[in-house]
Amino acid sequence: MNTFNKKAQLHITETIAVLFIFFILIAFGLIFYARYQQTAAQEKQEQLLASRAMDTTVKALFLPELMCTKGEAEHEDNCVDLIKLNSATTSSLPLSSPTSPDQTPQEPLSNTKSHFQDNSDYYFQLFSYSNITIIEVYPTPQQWQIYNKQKTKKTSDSKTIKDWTRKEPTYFTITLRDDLAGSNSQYRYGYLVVEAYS
Amino acid sequence: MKSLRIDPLKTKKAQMEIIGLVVIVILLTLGMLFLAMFALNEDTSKKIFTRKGLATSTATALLKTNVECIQQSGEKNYPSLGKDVLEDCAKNPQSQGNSFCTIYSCDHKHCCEYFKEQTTHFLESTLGKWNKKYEFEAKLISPHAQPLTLSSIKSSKGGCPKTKPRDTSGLNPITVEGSGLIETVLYLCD
Repeated sequence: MNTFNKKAQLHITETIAVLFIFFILIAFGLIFYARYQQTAAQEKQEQLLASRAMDTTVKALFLPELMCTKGEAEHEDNCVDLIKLNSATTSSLPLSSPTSPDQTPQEPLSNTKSHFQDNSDYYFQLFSYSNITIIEVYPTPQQWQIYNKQKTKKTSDSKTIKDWTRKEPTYFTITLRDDLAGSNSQYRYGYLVVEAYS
Repeated sequence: MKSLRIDPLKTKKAQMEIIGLVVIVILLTLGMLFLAMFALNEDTSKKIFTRKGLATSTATALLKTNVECIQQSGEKNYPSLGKDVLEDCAKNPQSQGNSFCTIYSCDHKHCCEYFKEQTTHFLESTLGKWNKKYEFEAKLISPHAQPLTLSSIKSSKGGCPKTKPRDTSGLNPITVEGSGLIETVLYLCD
C-alpha cells in the first residue's frame, strides 16, 4: 500500500511538472505573439503613412495648377511651370545652404495668402495633413511652399500644439520650366518634398 | 531469462511518450515556420515603385536642365546638359585625345569634364543628400565600333552593383548626328 502511494505521488508530481512546463510554453507563445502583433501594427501604420505620402506626391506632381503645359500639347512629366508656381504661391525663399531636406519649412513662408491657402478646404481633400515644398537646386537655390497643414490640438490652457507623432518625407526630382528666361524655355533642376503627418 | 521478457504495458507507455515528444517537436516546428513566414513576408512593392519613379524622374530632369555656360570668348549661353553638352562630348570624346569641344567649352573645361562635374553636383545635392546610392553611366553606341563610356559616376557611398537589388531609370537615348546614339542610365539602390 505504501509503495503504491509513493508511486502515485510520483506520478502526480510528474504530471504537475509537465503541465507547469506546458503552461509556461503557452505563456511564452502568447507573450511573443502579442509583441509580434504590436510591431506588425506599428509597421502597418508606417506603411500606410508611406503610401499616403506617395499618393500625395503623385497628386502634387500632376496638379494642373503647376504642371508644364503648352497649348493643347501633352503635358510634360515631372515638370513645374515657374510662372504658374510664382503666381500660385506667395513668394520664394532663398535656401541658406542648398538642398538639405531638413530645412523644409514647417511654418508658412509668408503672411500673404496664396492660391493654395485661399482654397485650403479644397486642397485639404487632396493632400490631407501634409507639407509640400518645391526646392530649386540649380541655378538659384530657393524654395516655394505649396501647402502646409499640420494636425493640431488645443491644450487645457488653450495653447495650440502639434498632434502628430510621425512624419514621412518623400522626394521626387523635377525640372522647373522658366518661359520668361529668353526666346527658348529654360529648365532648372529641383525637387519636390512631400511630408505626410500622422 | 526472466529479466529479458518484454512487458507489453511498459512498451505501450514508452510508445505513448515518444508520440508526445513527436507532437511537441511538430508543434515547435510549425510555430517556427509561421514565425519565419510572418517575419519575411514584407511588402516591398511600394518602396520599389518609389525608387523606380525617383530614378526615372532624376535622369529625365538631369538631362533636361539648362546649365549656365560661360564660353572661352566670355559669351554666356544656356545649353541643355543632355542634348547639348553630352552630345558635344560624344562628338569629341576626351578619352580619344580630344582636348577641345566643338561647341561648348564651359568654364574653360572640356565638355565631358564639365558634364561630369555638373552631373555629380546635381546627383549629390539630391540623391546623395537623401542617403541613396546611385550609379550613372553615359555610353556612345556606334554602329561600327565598340560602345564608348563617356561618363561614369558613382555616389560617394558606393555604386549599385548588379548583385544588389537596384532600380533603373531606363535608357534615355539621344541621337548624335554622324556618331551614333548616346545611352544614359541611372541605377538607384538603398
